[in-house]
Amino acid sequence: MQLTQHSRKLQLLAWAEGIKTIAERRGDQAAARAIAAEIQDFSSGRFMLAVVGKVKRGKSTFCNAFLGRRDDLLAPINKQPATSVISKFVHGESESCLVHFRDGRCETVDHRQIKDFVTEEANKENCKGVDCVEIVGRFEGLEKDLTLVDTPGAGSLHQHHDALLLGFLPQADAVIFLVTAHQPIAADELELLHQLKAADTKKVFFAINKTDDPHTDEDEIAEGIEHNRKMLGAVGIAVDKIYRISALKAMRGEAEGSGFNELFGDVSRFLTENKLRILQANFTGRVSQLAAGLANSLAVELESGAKSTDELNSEMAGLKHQRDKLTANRAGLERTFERQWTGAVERFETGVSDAEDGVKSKITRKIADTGVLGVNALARELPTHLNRVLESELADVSSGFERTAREAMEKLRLEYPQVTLGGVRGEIVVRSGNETTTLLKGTIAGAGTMAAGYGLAAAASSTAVSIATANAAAIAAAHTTVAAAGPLAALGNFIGGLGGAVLSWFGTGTATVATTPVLMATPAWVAIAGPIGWTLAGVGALAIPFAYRTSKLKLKEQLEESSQEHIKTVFRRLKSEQVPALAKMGSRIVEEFQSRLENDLSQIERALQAALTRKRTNTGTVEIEGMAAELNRLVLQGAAWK
Amino acid sequence: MSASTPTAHLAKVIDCLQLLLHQHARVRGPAHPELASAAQEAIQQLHWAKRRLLAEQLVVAFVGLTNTGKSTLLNALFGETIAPKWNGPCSSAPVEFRHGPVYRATASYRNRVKRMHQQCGSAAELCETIKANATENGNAAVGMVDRLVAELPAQVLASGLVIADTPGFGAAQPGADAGKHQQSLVSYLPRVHQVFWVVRTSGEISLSREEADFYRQRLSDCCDDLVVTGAEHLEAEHRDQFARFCRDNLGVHFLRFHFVSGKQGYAAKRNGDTDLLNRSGLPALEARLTEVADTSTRLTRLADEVLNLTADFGAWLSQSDAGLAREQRWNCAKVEWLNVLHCAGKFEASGGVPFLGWRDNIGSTLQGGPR
Repeated sequence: MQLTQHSRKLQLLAWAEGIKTIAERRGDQAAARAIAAEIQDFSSGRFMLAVVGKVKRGKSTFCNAFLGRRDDLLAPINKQPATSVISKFVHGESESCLVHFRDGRCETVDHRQIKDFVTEEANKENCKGVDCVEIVGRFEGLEKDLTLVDTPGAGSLHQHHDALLLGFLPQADAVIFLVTAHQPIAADELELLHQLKAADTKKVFFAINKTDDPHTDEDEIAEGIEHNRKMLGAVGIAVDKIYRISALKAMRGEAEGSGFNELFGDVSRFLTENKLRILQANFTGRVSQLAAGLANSLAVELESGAKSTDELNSEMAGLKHQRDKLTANRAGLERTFERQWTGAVERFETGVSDAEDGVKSKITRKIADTGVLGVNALARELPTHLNRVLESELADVSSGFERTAREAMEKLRLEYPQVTLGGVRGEIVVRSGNETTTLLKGTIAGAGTMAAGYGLAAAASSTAVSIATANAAAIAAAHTTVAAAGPLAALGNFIGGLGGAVLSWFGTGTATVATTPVLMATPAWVAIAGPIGWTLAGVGALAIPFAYRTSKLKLKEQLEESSQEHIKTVFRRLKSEQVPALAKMGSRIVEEFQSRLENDLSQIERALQAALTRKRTNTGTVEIEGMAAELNRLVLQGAAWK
Repeated sequence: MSASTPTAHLAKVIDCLQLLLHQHARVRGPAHPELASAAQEAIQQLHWAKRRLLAEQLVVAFVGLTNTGKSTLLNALFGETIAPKWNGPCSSAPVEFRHGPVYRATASYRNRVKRMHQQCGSAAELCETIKANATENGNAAVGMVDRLVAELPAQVLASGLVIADTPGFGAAQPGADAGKHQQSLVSYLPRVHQVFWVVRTSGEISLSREEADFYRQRLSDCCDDLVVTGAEHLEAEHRDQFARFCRDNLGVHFLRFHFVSGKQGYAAKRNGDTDLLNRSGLPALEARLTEVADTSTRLTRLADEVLNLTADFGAWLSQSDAGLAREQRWNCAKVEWLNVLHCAGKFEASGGVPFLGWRDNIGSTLQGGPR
């Protein structure tokens, strides 16, 4: 078994190397680099096993027990919601801990300092900007190429925890899902299971923790299991076994009766049997997608080889002409879009400033208008009231922005020139609004490679979406510091409508997928954690903390003070984080459209150019045919593996 | 209710105050929406005060997230198993427990006049009837039963108090049933006079976002009590921490906390274990329920509440002077203030609590005249 898996791995690596070589020979450096990165990830062979669940289900205790720790130095435990960032545990000969920050910095810290970075208590609302923490140690429970991941709990009062967790899910190769004995799956856990399903998580181990609670009897556990099974069935997650464990017992070293041995055994058996298969599936998907782009350009060049020099020259001239026309055309479209976008952002900014005054005066008035005796009632009502005022004052501004942005986006999407496969004869056409221009005739007739390439790209796109969405949420979470969603979260939905273009706004993580010809839809949850939804969604949640053992007069002053402070914070964040992000987003969307078109046109031009050169120098198409045939073979091979 | 009882007079005072506020909101509201909303808030408070005042049988509902041990807690209060429990979403319709000489169940259905009446020979039989009609695992189609009234000879209900067990919010219900329990709960809430919010712990100090949101949206006006079940898992110092955590995170400082172990309380009552009963925290919760239900102290408490509101409103009126011609405002208010004063006098004369403050406060407002 071990041997066949190993040889399979080598085979896959060789396969990817083959594609990489073709990319290099073609001079497509971007694709070659991206494949090289995939190869490196795959050959290190790390498997991510994530522990997830609702808040306070014992995930960190579980991790400590899994690692064979008796203390909670590495995964701190608290009676209050504790874990606030993603922690990765890796086996190594020496002990170390690497804190990765969102700004790209890295810092090595001592094991004793871990809690300063990973807990809500010491790193409130992730004010230290931690991206993730990588902890290396001689963990007896951890196989060498397994990464155990501790995640923040879902559904706590800290909404940024949810964004982090959801952002991480697509990266997990397998998941251990924890519930507790007397709290079987509730609505928010059902939602989390749906997210796991959507993230295409390959394996879920479902475990009931805290089964050693002396106050929970057998009947209750049996009832809980029945309910849990029903819910898992409803989501469509296959679970052969429901494990009954006590992480606390296991952490104390009482492995007997903690149910850990059974789960542990099944996890390692699963890893032995399936780890490579899952890693392979992800690897094959991502590399195939990159190969599809290459296949595309080879197909064009190969087809061009059958044409005469005159035909090629005229196509080249036609392409140049088209390109000039498109450039003039698209520049106009871009300007219109940018004008609309900038206008919308400016109106948003002005609206926000106006709203601030409105909110401030309304709250001040409200507090002033309350008599001293009504102050207790006011204190009780103020958070809700403040919420309502903020929402009503911002509602028009945000929905106005949403409308304009959506319209501008839709117009750009419809009218922007797009290179596509068209018609029964397999031409390459440019669609620009209602106008369709043929760039190259009969390109894919008989070639086949390209069609295969497109098919694969579509098949592999789910993996690409996973990578992209993970980055998206991580970045969104980096900014999300205010908790809880308000009715304005609906605004986030429009992001969903923007499609793939927005994904690249999120930065480097999507570099490997930026050149694919497939437009991807954004899953709905990214919309919620997305760059617009989050700020306004978070605005509403304001718990006003104050000391309650004070005189009513004093209380009134404090209410006034803390509510003004909150309003100021909310608006400062809106102006300093949200507005610049929105402004930048407009130009990123344009860049995405530009580079997509530019890339497609250049590919065609390069192919034509190469064909012309070959005609001139009388070089045959042998080399290119060889390359295409080789790539075709590799692509089909990859498809068969998937 | 005879027209000369203190209750009737206090109700009249509340009516007058509400009228005064309404007038104020009507006249000045269009120009000053913030004043209208302030008046609305006070009217809302008076609304709850009057509902509680006039309730012949006070309905106290135990409301909480799914699986927080509401039914277990009720069984502990009754001292026998009446409310069906299940480790999973259970209650699908609200059940009102009332005092009666025999065990009896009456179910009313959505959009139907005819009800189902069933005499039960024992507590167990009543429990079965409830299970069949108002739980997820019963035979009745979910959502058919609107409400079920269960009568039983329990001591805690003897004062006329009605205790309601409600479907949990946030229950996992896939497909077409999604949110049905929550809907049933929300549509029942208007019948309730007071809410005891139930939160569960198994040693942790935490509220879920769903709980906090539900409290803010639905309970903040009608709930003063938070019952923490599973308290056997919490040491005294952690109980304090728990209360602080809730107060800080909800921004509410007046909630009363009751740390209770339903399981311990039930076992203690069954076995006559006084020690365990005291530790379970049940007696304190029962005392609070008695206090809430007691008609005579209820009057005093509500009168107190209304008095405070009068003072607040007087202060507010004399401080705010945006817009409207002062004379006009004063004239429209004066008559109503006199009405309030008149009713307050009757309230005292009829045996209600004599509050000198009533007269002083209103008197000085009247003498102050338009400023």
